[in-house]
Amino acid sequence: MYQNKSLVILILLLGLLIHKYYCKEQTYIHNQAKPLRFHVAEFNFDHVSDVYAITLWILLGSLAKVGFHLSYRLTEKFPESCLLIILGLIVGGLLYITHLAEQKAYVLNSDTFFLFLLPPIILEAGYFMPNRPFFDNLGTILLLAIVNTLFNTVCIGLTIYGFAHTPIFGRTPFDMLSCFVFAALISAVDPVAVLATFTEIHVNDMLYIVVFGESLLNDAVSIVLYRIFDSFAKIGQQNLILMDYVLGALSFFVVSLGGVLIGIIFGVVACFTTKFTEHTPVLEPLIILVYAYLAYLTSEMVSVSGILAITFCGMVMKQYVSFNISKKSDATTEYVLKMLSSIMETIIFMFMGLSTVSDNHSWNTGFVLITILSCLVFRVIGIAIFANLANCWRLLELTRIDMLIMSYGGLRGAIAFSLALILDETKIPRKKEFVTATIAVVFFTVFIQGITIGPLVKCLNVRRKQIEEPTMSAKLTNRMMDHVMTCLEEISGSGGSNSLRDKCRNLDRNYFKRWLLRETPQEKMDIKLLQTFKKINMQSAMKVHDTSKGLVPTPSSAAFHTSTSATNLRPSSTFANFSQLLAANLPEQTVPDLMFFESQGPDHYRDDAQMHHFLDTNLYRAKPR
Amino acid sequence: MGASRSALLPLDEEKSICSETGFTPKQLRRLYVRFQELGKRNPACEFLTREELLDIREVALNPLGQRLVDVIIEDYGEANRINFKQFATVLAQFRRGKAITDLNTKEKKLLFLFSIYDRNHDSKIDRHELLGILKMMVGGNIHDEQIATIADHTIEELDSDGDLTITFEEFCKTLIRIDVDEKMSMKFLN
Repeated sequence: MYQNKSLVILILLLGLLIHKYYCKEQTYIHNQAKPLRFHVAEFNFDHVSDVYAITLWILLGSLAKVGFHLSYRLTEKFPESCLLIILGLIVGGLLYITHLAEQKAYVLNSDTFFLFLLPPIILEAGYFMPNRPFFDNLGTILLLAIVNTLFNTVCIGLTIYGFAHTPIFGRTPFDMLSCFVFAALISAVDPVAVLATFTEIHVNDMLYIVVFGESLLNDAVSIVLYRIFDSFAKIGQQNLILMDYVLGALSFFVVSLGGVLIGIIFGVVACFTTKFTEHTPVLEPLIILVYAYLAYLTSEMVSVSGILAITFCGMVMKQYVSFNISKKSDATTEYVLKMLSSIMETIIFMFMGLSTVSDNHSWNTGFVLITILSCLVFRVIGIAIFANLANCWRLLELTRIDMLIMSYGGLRGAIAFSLALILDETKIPRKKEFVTATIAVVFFTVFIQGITIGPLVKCLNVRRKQIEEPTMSAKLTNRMMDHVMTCLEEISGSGGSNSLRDKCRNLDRNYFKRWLLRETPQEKMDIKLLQTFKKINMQSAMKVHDTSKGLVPTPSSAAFHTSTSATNLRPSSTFANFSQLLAANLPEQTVPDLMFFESQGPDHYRDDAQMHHFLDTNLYRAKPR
Repeated sequence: MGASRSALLPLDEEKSICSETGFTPKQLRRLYVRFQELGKRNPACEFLTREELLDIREVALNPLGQRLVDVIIEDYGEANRINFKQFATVLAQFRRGKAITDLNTKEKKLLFLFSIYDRNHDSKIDRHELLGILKMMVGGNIHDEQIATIADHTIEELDSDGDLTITFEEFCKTLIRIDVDEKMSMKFLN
């Protein structure tokens, strides 16, 4: 506890320091001309001021995160996002009171948000997306993302417009287009907030993917709606003609399909590029990141959905690139993505807290309350309708509890806030009230729903995520079940998702893998099975390496046993020595040394088998289930 | 189309199969149409043979296709062929629906999986049977040694009584973590 307190104080001091220095440039008094002398060292803050501030911000955020995680009790009760927002609020409050900096300096800049802060988070989400649950549930996800978001927008817009005529909102009524613009930006579930919250509560894959997939894919709908209503507001309500409406509807298809197409194209080009990078493995992570970012920027350039583009780019790359690039590059890419996304998330939440403390607000109690209520109510109704609709074709039906978690997990976040900030005040006179209401909704969902969803999940006994150990038997049985079900579906004539998946896999194997991979895979090879085998091999090898402190002999000198003799599976004399060895040395948890993953020679298959025989006789017995 | 085979099931047979398997009449009729479609080479016969099942292209290409057909014909049919009632019984085990009969229980599904391995019906999976399945699934140019080590590793993981074979109970233990009911279900269209 003492450590925590001192760390918190340190952080606050650091925060104050940032802004003191950052703002010093504005109060920097130019000295009068002195006779010139040689200066050994000079203090030149202007030179680095902006970059220094940014870097200190990042440091502050990271230290804050470190500090939060030192206290287990704190992170158990409050999700990280809440703590970061609170930190931002505190620093923002300090700045506001002491007038240390101009407001423009620290209110969230929408350009910064959309161009720098958001893409890494979405890329990481797309790259690590569990493909199988995603495509299994794609119908449901699309239904929710598109139709549910539309439904929410329309309902919330109409409600707000309806209430605008009543005295609840006070003063002058809101006009219809403004209401709909606001509804468009507030009704979309936010992927950043969902990611931040759901990763901490560990629900089962299917539930997570439905909510998260919805939050990713609804970007297309919410962009289109926001843009439509915004443009309509600019055109002016009286000037609209039928063509505008038609084009608006058309733009939905263009935005969503365009985004997906751009993402896939860039992904495929990236994979193709990595086919040739065998001699320059250092560039591989860079290639991946650059292509993905380009996909995002290109989509933003042509006004299609950047989020969809970068998501699908990430998904495509994950499939093929991981086979092409070296193990080191693979590990590096994963780590860099995780690191970038973590930093950006931290900054986003801090900024939200920071930007709250500003003059950009206008509190309207009635409006805020109606907004929050209608968001909640219509989310529940929407999920109830559409989840039941989806249950008609789903193999695995969504239960009532699933639906409750889905409604409860509809968090709003920074995207809504940024969209609210870039509203044009001349065309939408109520901007300040919209901004306030948006912040209120975001805070409500992140704080209240974010904090209580954890206990709710535990209380309702929602199926949690199962952390599977990669055992051969589990993998083998899984693959077997897949094959069996595909076959049975064919025999019974009811083409289910299994046969569709099989068809895709065949297409994949025959065409895409041939073009995009360095070495074409062999016939009928069940790659996943061998990957699991390799993984288990590596782990056992490392265990032996750890415990025997590097005494594993080379394969050539090892006396290897043929696998036909079953007695070798039960090491007798070596075991006794080994247990003594193990008792003496506590096995340490070592970080996988990247050097370990050097690529092996062409006949490493045989060496692999020999090594495994040797290890097999000297290892701990694989844990019996 | 075969004229000598009746286009519809006799009603009482339909009722009895429905009550046993839990299919709705519509689903059953659809299955019957499929059954006749598969047996179109020999329209006079009321049975499906191995060859007719293996005629389905995707079944022939599936790594476990042959083995699956073996299981269906040998365990559920008789004298190398299967009639419609037995056909429906096999498929009923994987029916996903609200009505649970004693056919589509989890245990039956697990037994089905087990019997895919265990072809000599001694209620144990030994190394040889495991190797067979692995070869079918992995296939290709994989060294026999590698496949053998995978098999050994698997047996070691599962075998708790040390006899180097896997009994049904040990087999089920692996599957505790995997949701078998979910994965091995088919939705039969109406």
